[in-house]
Amino acid sequence: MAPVTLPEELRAKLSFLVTQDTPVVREFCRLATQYFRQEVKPRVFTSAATKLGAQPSQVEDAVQALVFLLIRCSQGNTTTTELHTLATSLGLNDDAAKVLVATYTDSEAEVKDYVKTLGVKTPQYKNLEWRFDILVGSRSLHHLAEPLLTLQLSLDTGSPSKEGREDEACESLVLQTDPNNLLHITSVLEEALHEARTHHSRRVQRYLK
Amino acid sequence: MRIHPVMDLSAEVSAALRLLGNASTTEHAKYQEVLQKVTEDMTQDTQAGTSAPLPDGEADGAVSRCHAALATLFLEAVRYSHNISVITSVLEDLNWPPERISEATKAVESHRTTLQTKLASLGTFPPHVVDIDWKLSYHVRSSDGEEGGGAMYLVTLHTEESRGRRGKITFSCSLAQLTHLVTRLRQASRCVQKYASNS
Repeated sequence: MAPVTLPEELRAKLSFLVTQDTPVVREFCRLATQYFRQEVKPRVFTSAATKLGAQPSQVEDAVQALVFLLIRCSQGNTTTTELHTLATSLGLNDDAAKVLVATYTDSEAEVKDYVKTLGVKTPQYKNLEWRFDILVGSRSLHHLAEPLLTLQLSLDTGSPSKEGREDEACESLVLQTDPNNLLHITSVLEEALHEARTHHSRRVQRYLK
Repeated sequence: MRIHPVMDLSAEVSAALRLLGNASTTEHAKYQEVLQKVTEDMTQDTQAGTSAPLPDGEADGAVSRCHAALATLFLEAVRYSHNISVITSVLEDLNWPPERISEATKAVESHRTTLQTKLASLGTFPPHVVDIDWKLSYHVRSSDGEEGGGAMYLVTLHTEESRGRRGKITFSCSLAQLTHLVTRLRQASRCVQKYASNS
């Protein structure tokens, strides 16, 4: 994997950290990981800036730069050694670099999850429940005996689950169909499954690996 | 007040039908015109207010009442699956001549299936799945840095809702998820086929 390269602008923003003590760097890292869970309130930056005698924008920029760095590293599967080297090359001392590396190891899974929510999203199949009914009559038509299938399709809509509420990301649709259409859609989907096993399909997959 | 217990027609409808069947007040050509208009209105997909005007008649609205009454008779007959003999007996009770009765019952019988379908589509029901499309693709790389997501299916269900509206539901699934879906559908198909062969 190629080493992580950072844009000049980002290096400049991170240079603010170089002048700070290790506990301050640790606090900045903590703020950066908070980004992946919830929105960080502006007054957090203001109060940090007052303590350090800096501009709130400087603090915010540095935290954002850290966020960017963590995302970049996790996308590139950067190793801890590589990150340590990178941190020291930025001018951080050994202790501060270790803090950054520790933050990276602790939050890697979280960062990966966060990045996934940013990608292209389509609702994903989760489950299908079915029930076979015979419709006997309705207000507009009596004396029926019509076979009907009621289907409950659950889809994972992948909406941001930042608050960790799983139910909200799931959509449940109630549908119905008749025996003829049921057989039809089953056979069409069997064809779809078969397509994945064809010679052509396997060749494309091998080529892409 | 209900005049006819079998068909459950209102007094107003019965009166209008009596008038329509009376050869001395409604001439045969006028009767046929009304019959044809009722058949057309009920079997064609015309929206309310856009169908052709009713045949000319007296200004008292008698033709329009007859039209509505005959339409009611037809719809009630289909709604309760009344056969020819029930309809015939109802019309005989209303003093219709045999010729008009046979024309009317013939009209009901030739359009019974269409009317059944129309009546069945009334009311509320969940979207009805009528077709399905699928696409298979391999995810190569994406902006989230994920590499080689593997085979992914994009499935679209085509549905029909009340009033003939069409809908679509699209979702993606992996090979394993599609296998799960197909297994479930096969279970359902087997269940349906079992009942079909038993009955």
